[in-house]
Amino acid sequence: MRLPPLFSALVLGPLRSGALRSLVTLLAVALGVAIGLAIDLANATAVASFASSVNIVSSKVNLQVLGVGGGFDERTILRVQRLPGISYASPTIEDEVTVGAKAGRPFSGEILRVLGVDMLRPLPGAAAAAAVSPGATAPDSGDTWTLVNGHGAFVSATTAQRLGWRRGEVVHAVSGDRDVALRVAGIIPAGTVGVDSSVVFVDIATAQEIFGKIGSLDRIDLVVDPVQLAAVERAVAAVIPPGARAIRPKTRTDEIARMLQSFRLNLAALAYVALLVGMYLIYNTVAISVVQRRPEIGTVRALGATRGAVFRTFVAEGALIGVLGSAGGLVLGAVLATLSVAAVSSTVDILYVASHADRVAYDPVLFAKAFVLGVLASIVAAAFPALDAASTLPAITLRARGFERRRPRFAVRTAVAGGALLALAVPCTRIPAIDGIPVFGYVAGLLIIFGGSLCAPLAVGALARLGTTLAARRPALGLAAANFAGAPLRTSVAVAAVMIAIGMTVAVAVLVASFRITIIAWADETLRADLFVRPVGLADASDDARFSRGVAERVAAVPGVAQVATLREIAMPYHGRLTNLGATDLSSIAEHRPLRLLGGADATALARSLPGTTGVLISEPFATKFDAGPGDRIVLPTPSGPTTFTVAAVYNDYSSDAGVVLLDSRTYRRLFHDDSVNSVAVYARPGTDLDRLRSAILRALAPLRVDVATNRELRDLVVHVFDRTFAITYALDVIAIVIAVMGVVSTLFALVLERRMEFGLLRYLGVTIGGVRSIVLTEAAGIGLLGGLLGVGVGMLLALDLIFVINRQAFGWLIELHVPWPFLFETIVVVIVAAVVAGIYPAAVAARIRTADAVRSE
Amino acid sequence: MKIIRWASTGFALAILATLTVVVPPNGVRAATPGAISARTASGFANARLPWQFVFPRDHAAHFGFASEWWYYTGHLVAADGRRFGYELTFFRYGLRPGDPRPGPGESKWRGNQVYPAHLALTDERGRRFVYDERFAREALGMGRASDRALDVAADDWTLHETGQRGTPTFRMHAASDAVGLDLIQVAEKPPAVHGHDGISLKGACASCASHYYSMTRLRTSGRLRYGGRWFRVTGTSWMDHEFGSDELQPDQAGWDWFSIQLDDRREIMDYRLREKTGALTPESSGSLVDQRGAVRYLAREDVLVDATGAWKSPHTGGTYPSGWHVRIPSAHLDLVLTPVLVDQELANTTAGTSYWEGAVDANDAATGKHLGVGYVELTGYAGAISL
Repeated sequence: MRLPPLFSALVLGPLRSGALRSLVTLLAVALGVAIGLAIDLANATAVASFASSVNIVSSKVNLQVLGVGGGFDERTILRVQRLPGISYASPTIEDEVTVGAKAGRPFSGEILRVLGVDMLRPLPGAAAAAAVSPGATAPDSGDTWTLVNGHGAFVSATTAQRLGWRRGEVVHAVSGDRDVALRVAGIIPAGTVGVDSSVVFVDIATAQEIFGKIGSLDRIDLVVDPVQLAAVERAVAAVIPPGARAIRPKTRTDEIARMLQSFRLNLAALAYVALLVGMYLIYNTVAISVVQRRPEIGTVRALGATRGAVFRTFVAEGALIGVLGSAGGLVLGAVLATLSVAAVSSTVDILYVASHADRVAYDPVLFAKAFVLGVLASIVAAAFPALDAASTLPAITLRARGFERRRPRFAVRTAVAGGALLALAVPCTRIPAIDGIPVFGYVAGLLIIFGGSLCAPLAVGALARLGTTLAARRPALGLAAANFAGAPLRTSVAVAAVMIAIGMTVAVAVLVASFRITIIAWADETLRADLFVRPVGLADASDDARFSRGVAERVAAVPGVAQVATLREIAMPYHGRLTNLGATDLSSIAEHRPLRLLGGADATALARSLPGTTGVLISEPFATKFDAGPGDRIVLPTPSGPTTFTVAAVYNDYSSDAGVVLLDSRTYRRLFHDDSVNSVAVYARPGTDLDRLRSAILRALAPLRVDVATNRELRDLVVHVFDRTFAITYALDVIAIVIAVMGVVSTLFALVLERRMEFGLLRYLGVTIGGVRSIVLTEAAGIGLLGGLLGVGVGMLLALDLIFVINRQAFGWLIELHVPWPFLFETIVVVIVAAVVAGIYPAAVAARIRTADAVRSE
Repeated sequence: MKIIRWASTGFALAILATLTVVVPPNGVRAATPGAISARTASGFANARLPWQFVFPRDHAAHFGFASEWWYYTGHLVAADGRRFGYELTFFRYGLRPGDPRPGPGESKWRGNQVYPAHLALTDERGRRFVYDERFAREALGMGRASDRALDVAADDWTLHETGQRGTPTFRMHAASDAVGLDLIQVAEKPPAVHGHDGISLKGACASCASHYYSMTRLRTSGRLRYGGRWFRVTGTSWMDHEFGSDELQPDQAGWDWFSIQLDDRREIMDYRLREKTGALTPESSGSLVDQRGAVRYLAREDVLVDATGAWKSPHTGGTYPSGWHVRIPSAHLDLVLTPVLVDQELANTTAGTSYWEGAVDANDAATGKHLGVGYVELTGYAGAISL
């Protein structure tokens, strides 16, 4: 094995001499790895924050009693805690308050999670115990009596500082529509182990009172002898009320993880496209290295180096770039994660459940995964040029350095292969999701990307021929075209890198535009009410933000109100994942048609037949996720025992990809013993002044803390939430384009260096500095043009895959295709400009080549 | 005296910060009785004022005082001859004076009292010591007491008094996974009130006292579950009932408490409060109960106690005295107390504090003759008592 000297001669030398290009490649790999890692970390953090909501009470909790809807009877704890094998039973209420909410400002409120536990007897190893440790309480902090009977609260130092809360102070927050006052009994020191800084601890008595949950518990956390866990689990299940479940904490975390699965996977897939673009750069770098070193390769082969040794040498180059780049990517990714965590968790908050991910969960497994992926991708990318290097004949030394080997009909062959891959993508889109994951949708996406890439050489050749034809008038064009034709492979790779980045941008843009238009149309059609009464300061009606009893009735009594419709939504476990149960007045769906029923279901008939029964409507994502349809039966846990609901119809819905089961309010109240509501839709009498009606409703509900939004405002809010959701995808796009532009720089730079002598000769022959520059810039523009055009083509195919396969299978969304043509044209223009900008530095280098030097070297 | 204070009750630490004795200025240490107010610094009733005990009323709870406990220790014999020592204690702590109850529209978890309870069993033949605890707050009836009759509950552990006037009878029930007790205790002697005027002094401060009496000889019968078996048991028990407010000072390190039931039907109680300097406080004292139930006060100087051995706890690392030479010259008593088991430590109760509470045998120091049995309580040897 002569790898080390070979490696040093063939790889390290060129790497050093092409330091700038190597650096660009390293940076590209680092960026690709960093983005993937950052998104992975953000995703993991979002999930981990739920897990910590379980662990926060105590890491020793190994069994929980969990209710549905409005919790369960507090006396359940008396039966549970006396069962043998249970060493601790902690009554718990978990809810939220909003602070800083301003009326009419949907995103002004900050949500704080409030955990009500038995503060007199925290669980062993409990965060709450840390909360009430002597360091946290000073003698002046109000006494234990206040904690139990005076709404005392423990808050983290971080939260206290952010909100300006001081110990002993009475602070105000909003729970649902009511103001609650808490007395800051103690500040939990920063860095207290196990304490999520966004959690406020109160006593169970306080929690019951401020959340209007007197007499009930949301859950009971149990510490059970691990040996007896299975038996205790059964014993607990036997003594808890109907609807409540005895589950292990991991079950809940899994349910949430599965609910977020599609969202996380899609984001991760987008993130790793950046790494894919980086792969093309590595390919390019190694390919250039091979091309430049071909005479040396021939020499070492002649001296006895085996093909295998040459292959390994260049693979090692890829691996070296991979290792260095990935290592840098880990550092960069850890930094980026703090940014992406905020973005991802805000999306998760809005779309799913409050996650409160305020610290990145730095999971070493994810770091390892990103590193291994980065290195593997580099090795794979390097393997192709390495194979090419290995096939170099020993006698190759005679051939001039720096030129690619010309293969007959190379472009046509690759294009045929590319076409085959594209064709193969078609059947992939027909294969259904596996366990909710659109595996073959992603495969189709990869096939489109690789298939499109393989078409690049043909396009490069075509452009080169076109350039030659037009060269009569523009000599620079002719020379650029000749360069294209001279290095079809490397030019193609640069084109492909641009193509992928643009393709991804176009695909996401088309998806987002289509989705946005679909959602706006849906909102226009289904948001029929004139006014909406909502929790103050929140973007959404989370099921924790409940209105006081009687709010709907008070609104209905306001003059000018024709009708009100209430909505109550709760999280509901179904088949191992969390979905939603919604309750509304189904008798009004015929009159106002707030639902888009699918499959020709008749609203009038449903409005007559469903109220008061266990007939339900299911949202389209629910139908897709759980493969349910009209006539199917769904068994859900309720406080009245497991209840079988019959699906009456499916409706088109974009409010939750976790799915919604919608039943009649009357049925809900009867089965769940819960008459709270999360939002109220108001239908005004014809001719009513809506501004006045809004004021009248606010007056009627005073001093409750509610917002009344108009139909227009709520629609705007829907679009706003949508745009926020997709903000992070734009960021991912931009980064992929940055990497692609780096690829353009790298490629042009290499081509310029190879053609030192040519440029020198051109200068010798009287071509001006500007002329040399324009040759390079023309090449850059050519790469941009081809990358842009191919990118739009590939992007459109990817968009179809995203819209009709991946989103359909993963989320159950039915999105109408809308192509934002102006954006596509803009994209092509922008990418040509970006490529030309990328060409400026290589052009400057080319222009600096001194005639004499170049000619002398010849 | 049985002052296993909040430090060892499994009480949330938060409480410590607030129920801690307010340190009086130095000048107050010499306060005269005339300066003592009816309320302590925390607003509870002050046990440094005289107390006229009335039974059975005073077996019940006294919500005016901050802390209170009913402490049972005893020696039981099963039908097959196996001997067991046990401790069963119910504590009550008030958060604020008075006994407010949740009003309408308020959570039932509100409350002003908490009820920890400890159960320990010493298996003399099996050389094992097991213990468990309960902690109940005043919610949903989990923790409760009455100020009319003795009726205390900490979760599913209960204690109540059912006796006729003159013969107090206590019934208790406590069961955990490892051990269970169902006992009836009939008083063979009247209550023995300690101290003077119903005041048992604990220190010099203006609230350093409790009201304290013992039922020194209780005929005990019932059943005991241990090792998965039920045993019918009989034996003799001792009950302490004590209540007070803000009664300990921060310069106290802990205490040793002795109860001895002699075969000649006399009983001795003695508590020895240790200061951080190692000295015994002047208020350390005891009582000698004669065959008819008459109580003689024993001042600090009347009782001479020397530890004869030491035991280092493998659970907490604390080193406890183990074995004592006890002399009460005025009563012609010269005893050696020997733990029936060296390890009778209740380690790391809920609040993380530990104490030793164990059965001992009493023998004549000179002849070695068996003279009786006893119980010893040792605090402040494994970590601070968290004053």
